[in-house]
Amino acid sequence: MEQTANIIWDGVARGYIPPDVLRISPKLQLHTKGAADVDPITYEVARNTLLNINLEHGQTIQKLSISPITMLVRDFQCAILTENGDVMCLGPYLLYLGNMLGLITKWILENRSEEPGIEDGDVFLCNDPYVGTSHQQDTGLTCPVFWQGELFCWVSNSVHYSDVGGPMPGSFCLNSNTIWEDPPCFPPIKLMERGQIRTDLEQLFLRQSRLPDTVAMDLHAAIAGLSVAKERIIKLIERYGPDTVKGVMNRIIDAGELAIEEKLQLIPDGRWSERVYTEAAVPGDRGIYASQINIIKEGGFLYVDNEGTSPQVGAINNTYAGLAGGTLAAMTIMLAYDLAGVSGGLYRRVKFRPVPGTITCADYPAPISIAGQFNMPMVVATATGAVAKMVACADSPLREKAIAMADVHAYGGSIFNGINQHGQFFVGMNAGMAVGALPASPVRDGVDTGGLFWVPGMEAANVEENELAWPVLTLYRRHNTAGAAGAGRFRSGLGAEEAWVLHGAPQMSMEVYMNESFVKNQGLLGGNPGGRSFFQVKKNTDVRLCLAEGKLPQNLADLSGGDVPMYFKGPPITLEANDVWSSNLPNFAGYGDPLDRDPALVAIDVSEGKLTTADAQQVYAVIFGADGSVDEENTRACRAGRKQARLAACP
Amino acid sequence: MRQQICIGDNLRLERRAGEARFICSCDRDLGTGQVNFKEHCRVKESSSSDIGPGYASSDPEMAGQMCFREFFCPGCGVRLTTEVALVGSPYLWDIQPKL
Amino acid sequence: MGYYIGLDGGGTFTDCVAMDDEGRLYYAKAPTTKEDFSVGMFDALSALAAECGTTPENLIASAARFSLGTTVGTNLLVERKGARTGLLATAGHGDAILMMRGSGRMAGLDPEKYYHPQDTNKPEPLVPRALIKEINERVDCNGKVVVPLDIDEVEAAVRSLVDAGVTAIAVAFLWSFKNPAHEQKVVEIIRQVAPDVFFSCSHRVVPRMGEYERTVATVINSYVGPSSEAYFKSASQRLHEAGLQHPLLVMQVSGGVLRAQQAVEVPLTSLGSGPVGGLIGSLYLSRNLGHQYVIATDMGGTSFEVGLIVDGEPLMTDENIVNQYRYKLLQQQTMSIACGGGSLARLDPYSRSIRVGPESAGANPGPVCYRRGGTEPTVTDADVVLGLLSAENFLGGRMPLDRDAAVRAVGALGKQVGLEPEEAAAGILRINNAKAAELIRQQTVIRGYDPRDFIVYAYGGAGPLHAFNYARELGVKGVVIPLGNGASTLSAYGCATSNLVRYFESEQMCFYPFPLGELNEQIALLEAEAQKSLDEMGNTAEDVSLERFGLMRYRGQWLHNLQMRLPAGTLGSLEVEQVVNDFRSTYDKLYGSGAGQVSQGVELFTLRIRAIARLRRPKQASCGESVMEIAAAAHLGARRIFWPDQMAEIESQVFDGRYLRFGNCVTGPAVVELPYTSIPVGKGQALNVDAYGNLVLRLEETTVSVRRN
Repeated sequence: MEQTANIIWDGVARGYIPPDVLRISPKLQLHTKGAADVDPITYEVARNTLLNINLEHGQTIQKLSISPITMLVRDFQCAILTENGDVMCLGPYLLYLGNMLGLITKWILENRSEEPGIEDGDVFLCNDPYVGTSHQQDTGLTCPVFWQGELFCWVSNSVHYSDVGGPMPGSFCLNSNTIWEDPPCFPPIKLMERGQIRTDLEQLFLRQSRLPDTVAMDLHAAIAGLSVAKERIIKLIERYGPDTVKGVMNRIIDAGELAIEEKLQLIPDGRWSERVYTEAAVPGDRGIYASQINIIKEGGFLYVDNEGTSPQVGAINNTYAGLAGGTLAAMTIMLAYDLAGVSGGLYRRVKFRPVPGTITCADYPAPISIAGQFNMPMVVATATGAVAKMVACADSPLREKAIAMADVHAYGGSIFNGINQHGQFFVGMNAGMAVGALPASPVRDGVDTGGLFWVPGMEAANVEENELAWPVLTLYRRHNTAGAAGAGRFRSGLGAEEAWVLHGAPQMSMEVYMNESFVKNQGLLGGNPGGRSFFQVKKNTDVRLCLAEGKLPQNLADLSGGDVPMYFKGPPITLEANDVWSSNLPNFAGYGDPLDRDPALVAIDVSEGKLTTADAQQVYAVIFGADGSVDEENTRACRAGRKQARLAACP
Repeated sequence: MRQQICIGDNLRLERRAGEARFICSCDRDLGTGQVNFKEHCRVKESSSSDIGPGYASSDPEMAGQMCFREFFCPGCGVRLTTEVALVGSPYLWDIQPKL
Repeated sequence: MGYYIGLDGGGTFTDCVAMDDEGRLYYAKAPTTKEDFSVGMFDALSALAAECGTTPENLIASAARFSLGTTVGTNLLVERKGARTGLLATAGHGDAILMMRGSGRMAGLDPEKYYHPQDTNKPEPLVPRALIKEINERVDCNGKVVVPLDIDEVEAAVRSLVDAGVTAIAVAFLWSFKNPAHEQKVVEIIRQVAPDVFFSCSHRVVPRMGEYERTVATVINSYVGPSSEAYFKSASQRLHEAGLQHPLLVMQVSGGVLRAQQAVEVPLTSLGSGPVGGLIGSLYLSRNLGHQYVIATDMGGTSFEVGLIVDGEPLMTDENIVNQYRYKLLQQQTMSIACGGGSLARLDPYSRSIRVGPESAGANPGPVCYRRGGTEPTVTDADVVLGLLSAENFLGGRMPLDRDAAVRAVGALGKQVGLEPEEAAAGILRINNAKAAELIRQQTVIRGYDPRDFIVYAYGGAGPLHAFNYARELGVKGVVIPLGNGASTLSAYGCATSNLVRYFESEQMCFYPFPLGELNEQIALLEAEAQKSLDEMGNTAEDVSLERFGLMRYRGQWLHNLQMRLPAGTLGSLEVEQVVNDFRSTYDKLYGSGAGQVSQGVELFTLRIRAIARLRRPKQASCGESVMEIAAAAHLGARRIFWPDQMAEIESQVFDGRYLRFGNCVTGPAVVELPYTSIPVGKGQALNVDAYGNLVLRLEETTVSVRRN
């Protein structure tokens, strides 16, 4: 690390970390006068309006965009920021993108305010992960809001665009070893200048894409969202005056900070860590790498570092923006859950001391494009583990808000392309597994297929929608069972699995899929880790014969044909008529010793068909009597015996 | 001033004779708060494929580099925490609250 | 004398309305009786007969039509008292209704909860997993059978469900709306094996894409089916025994009525016809008044509901949420937030400000001033503190309110943020009204409409009380309190005046340029079905018509579409091109020029036929003669009111709305009191009574024409 010691966090050679005081050109006039004495009623009316403006911004994007990733998977975010780029609030969408909008905006303030200048009617576009995006596909737009010649505030959004170029359809470039094998990075450019779209720059951006029409529609949806938000903020200023509105914005963040401070008082000082492993820096690589996050809580502040994380390698990197965004996402859920997206106060209380040159805080020219599928869920998971352990040490009621780890590498599942049954080229990202699952907590079970908590509102496409868009037939989509994966005193919600066969096209190509060689999830305080996420392909099966004979295969094991040896990341696979493939979103992490689980809860799972009596006995040491009810006495004895056996087995 | 910190359901950090110590719900002392309590646990290390039904790997060579560690209270046998870790790596000192 | 009777038995009161041959309106209400609804129904009818100056027997016997609105289905769902229901699903997909697409944990909840996973959960399953049976069968996206139906398996499944005690079965197979053969076959089997079981199948309930939402719709239909059927049958029977000459009509959420025997086929379409009832009433009134753009607002104790009329047509939706279950069904759209008279005002300790709602005092304990043990101030308490709501005359004096307690509660809250009780009360109203205005904004502006083109209709207990404030917030043209004192029976009025309406839909993806042969064939099929149903609707119709629409969107834009009217006759490429151009220009008009990319393809994915049988009914009678003078009986005196818009206490005139007549004009500051609500008329505002008894509130610097006749 020493040779990199004098590289600065400038967003060029290394991820951008804004200084406490931004270096902004004097050419740009900032509105900084926030009234301190706004009456409590005006405050509340304006607060409610500002939060709704941000929701309206998000709803506009969601409604007008056309890529399922935005519409259903909620892979976007929007925010209102103060004049100096501090995030005031973010929307109920992909949480880790929130802080990134602040980074991009601050970078623009520092690097664009002199030349070419920041003016009323401008919109900047940026997809450069070193400036502040999670990966190139998550392109940010940020728009200054001016009042009488002064920069009043910003409205910003980040949207996942289906394809922004690079060697792989969908722009997830698994094989990249450098950023030059990745989709292009655009540091902030003025996509709109004084209210007009720069068509030359728009075309420059669209020209990189395999799906320029789709990206154009989504880009215009994103611009429409900004316009709505900007217009409404101007109206609010017209009504209450700039100083009052600014005073309200500042107080919203201050109130959020106070709420966070109060929660921090419930947590003892200390240090908490989590480590999560990943594998395969590029396809074919057999290496194993670590992501670690450590949180030191000292008084009213949290200090976060990633010491213990592997050096940057292959394609599995994210920049500082991803590390900070992922950590803050986990903190938002466990510390700012009651603040309706006002996260600015939280952000003030978290200080990062990242170790550069690592897979979770990479230096240029590490490639970043696959981070959305691989690193970002891993960073959120790592942070979730550390935050959950910290929160579990807090006084009630905060300790109940701890939540066990969700997926490390199961987000989205697979990306594939080909010609569909309508004769059109498509790039598919399977959102079927977006059903997610809510992991366990210290006070209750998780929720079966309860979504991903760090992407609120995310939903899976219907099977019928998938089958209309892509040449596939879904043989099944069903809940996992509640066996060992995610077991605990409180168990994880159940994940799901589905299996597909081609239908209506002779072949298609699968570029991104994830078949974990080993489980990567970590259990919370004695709970089992979540299961292994798998992707399985069986070639040359008798599936057609089965269908012709009127049988819908419900189990890959029942089909003839050979399993293709699958790696965590393999080369693209060509899927053909007789192939069947299945993906699994495992149950997530459990909490507490499974032997402490209330036998009545075990019995409910058995009665609902979620758990076999054999698993109930093996995992939970719950014994059922002949009448099907829990045999309390034998269960107690069995559990005591198990605990003794544990000690006997490991001297 | 906190007298104790509960860490989940079974473990707590408690002031005893002027010193912060990890204590199990069965009252077993798991050492000073200055040291990773995992060092005082009984540890079972198994293959990451053998955690239970549903964890089996399709790539045993890769999975073989990883292990599953269970940390039991030597007093009562309750499982206090677990780790999926690289074989041979030191225990992660992940819970260090200060009393 | 013939009567056109509408009865809404949904709420706390059973409301009814009758219009006589000469277009005169009569209203009455009676408490709803949950154990036996017919008691409340006949109580209300007796009261109505008295209003009409006749006997109940004569009223019913001389009914030219009788329409019923109900929330029986909604109540069954909310109280989880529906039928024990089994589900037959395609093999491998029985979990779809349990997985809820992964969003069931939060569907329909306030976005604030989205950040708080520990405070959310999925609802109880409508069908326990053990009663979901997977059937070996498969159809593909083109409607082609991939795996034929396993008939033996169906038989066995139906038998096992019956053995497990189900009284209703839902059948929802993948792609059944493209090829219903398998579902139809299952119906045959159910009829043979379990003839007493209520059943519904998804291609009949809602032939639309999306197995989750279609399955939920079908399951709910079965879940509420047996009880709804019994309810309609019993209502029908009792009324016919009482002398009703015509078939009973039942209100539909799509905005029309259907004969009871047709309505029982798909009871889902009557589910929640209560909430949309007011919108339907507003619709008929707006046509009468010539209002093309209406924001229909209903503020009650706990919620605020908004529906829109645009270009004389109510906005429709086909996505609905009940108890976090999302389902597909075409209905008049109403959006709702927790914001009403019972919303609690609380301190936010972090910003030292006041929050209002979403928590509510509900009916119990209710507002502090209700004397039922409430201690936290509510919006209603603020109304009382300000004097907008009279403590003495509440519910016509039957329930005097405790103003002092309200002042104490509001005052205590105000003190924490440095406000006097009146200032705090005014503040609570401002905050509550801002929330109401925000919901209206979301319903209008986000859809591309400008609220300034609209007139607000305000009803519900708290609607007229607050409309003067939230309407002004939006800059709308004016406010109408529909039917004045009849506003609380608006839903029954909707029932009484509504036409027979049925929609027929089919979903098939057509990419532009559309395959004309296929499209025309689909239209012909649907229209034939619609025509057949019109014929069945029969002889009461004096004016029948079929209208056709296409739901269109940019390719892939799953969460958005526009309903475009399709021309009559066989569609050729010219007509289709025109429709596509209309779509593009409407889209740009709504969302800004260039919002839609010219290079992006356009899809027509659903055909929708509306069959209407317009029923003969008299034109609503108007007062012939206007009087300027306000009757002495109407003027109750004056009291001091603290006006939140003026932030000052002003001596204000008080009127009894029941005695105001056509031509009367009340200028603010004043309050017009009605038995179930009050209407503040702010300074600079004026309230006019029109020829139909509607109260029209004129806001500052805007004009709304007062309908003469």
